Amino acid sequence: MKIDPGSFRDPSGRILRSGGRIFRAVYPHGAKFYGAARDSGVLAHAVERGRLLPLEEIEVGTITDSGPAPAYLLEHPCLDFVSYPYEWTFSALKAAALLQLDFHIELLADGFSLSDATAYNVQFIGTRPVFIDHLSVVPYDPAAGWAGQRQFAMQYLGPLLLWSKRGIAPNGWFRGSLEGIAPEELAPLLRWRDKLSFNVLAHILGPAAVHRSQLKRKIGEAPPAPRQLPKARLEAMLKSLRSFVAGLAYPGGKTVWDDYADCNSYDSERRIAKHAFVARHVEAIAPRLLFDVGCNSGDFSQAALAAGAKSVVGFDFDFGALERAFSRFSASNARVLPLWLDATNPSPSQGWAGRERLGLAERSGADMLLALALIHHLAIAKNVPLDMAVDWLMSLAPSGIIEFPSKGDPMVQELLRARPDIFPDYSEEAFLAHVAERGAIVEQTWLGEGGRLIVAYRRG
Amino acid sequence: MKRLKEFLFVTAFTAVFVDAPAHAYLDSGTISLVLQGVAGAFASVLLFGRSYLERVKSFFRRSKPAGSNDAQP
Repeated sequence: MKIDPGSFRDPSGRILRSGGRIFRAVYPHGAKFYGAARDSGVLAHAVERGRLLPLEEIEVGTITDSGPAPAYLLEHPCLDFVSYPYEWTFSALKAAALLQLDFHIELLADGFSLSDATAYNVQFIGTRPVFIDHLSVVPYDPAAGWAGQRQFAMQYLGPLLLWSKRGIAPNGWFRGSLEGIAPEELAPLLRWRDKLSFNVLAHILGPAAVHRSQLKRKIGEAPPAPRQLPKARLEAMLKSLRSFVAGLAYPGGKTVWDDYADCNSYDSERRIAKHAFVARHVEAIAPRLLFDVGCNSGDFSQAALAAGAKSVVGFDFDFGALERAFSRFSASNARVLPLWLDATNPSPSQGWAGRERLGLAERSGADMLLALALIHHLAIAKNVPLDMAVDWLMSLAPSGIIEFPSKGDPMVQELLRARPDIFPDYSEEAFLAHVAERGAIVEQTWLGEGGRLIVAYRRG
Repeated sequence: MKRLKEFLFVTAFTAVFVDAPAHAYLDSGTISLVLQGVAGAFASVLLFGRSYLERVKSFFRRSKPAGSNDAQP
């Protein structure tokens, strides 16, 4: 039994992992609220509507941990992959924000509320967001108001505003500051016309002004009079915020790979051969989880699904391509989650004790890898020695497919045009040798006459 | 119309902030609740306004003769 290292802040309970199963211990501190939420039927109703991850109460004592004796023990289905908000696309962050607000509004109608608004409480099944923290559901307390307002501003509204209004992707900032972007940090970056909005004023500028005034406060002053927030006002505030967030759009503009599908160096014959190669090997392995690294808008994620992959996580560093992938798989409701990744700097393990949010390698669990039209970007554009690039890719999954564009390839030529060729070891022979050192080459072929080398491997 | 409503709100809200130092004895949680109360009240008004507008619009939509949009030569 392992305690989930990211689940320690709330004394109401804790996530436990054992034998590939996921449990939640509900401690006495959270038992009353959990019992009330369960008995009222709001949890079951939210599960039915797909808002909340399913739960099943099992016998206490099935597993034990070092915490207090639990009042309840719950079991949840395992997620395909755990992702973090700093890896999400604009549309994913927006979908998660809308889920957070919709769920909260629905709970208020039944007399319940959410005790926080952290984006880490949302995960994705394909492109569908689902709320995973059952112990955040508490009876509405007018004296608590909207306790999660600042968290919502820092982890949803602020990053979305920065992205939508200023065209700045917040992922790098968010990754460095796990609690998100504080209103007082964001406020100076917004223009006047961005500020001229009720919701920006109420959730960013107002709280930022409060924060500034708090810095001037003297310690030991008279205790404040108790205040209350009537439920109807919170409902109205959340509905207004929902409509504002729904109106935020991904900023336009051409992206690096916008026209890749049309302008890549592939003719249709080679493309068909590549699809057939991918389909054949995916079918043979039938992966539960496949990583498509350098997924672009998801053509081969789609091919992998069609060939029998149960779920796919696609990675790319181009937000425009990821947006297209998200919208495509959202429309088809396919189990593909497109995520942002800089392959030369993947998400690290970080947070409290360096373990709260796990790095990509520790979360992997993929059965199969697709790395198509990627390795030249690592080896040539980013100067990663070829053996190290092969090493990292093969470490992601025990089997997979890697495509190798040689130096004669127009795309590699393009990368080499503006710089001297300092890559004497970048060759098909060297690539094959590096793969063979780390595993077995199941199949190697060239995609059409004079086409790229493509290899299916099985790790040794 | 929406911009105008928001502008009025911004003006009113700014007036509240001019007073902010007078509430400096309040802790952040309480000030947040006060602000949430004000924002919630405005949101309620906006929401009521919107639903009222929708009702008026739907009244006029209903009172149009059936098939009036389909009139084709």
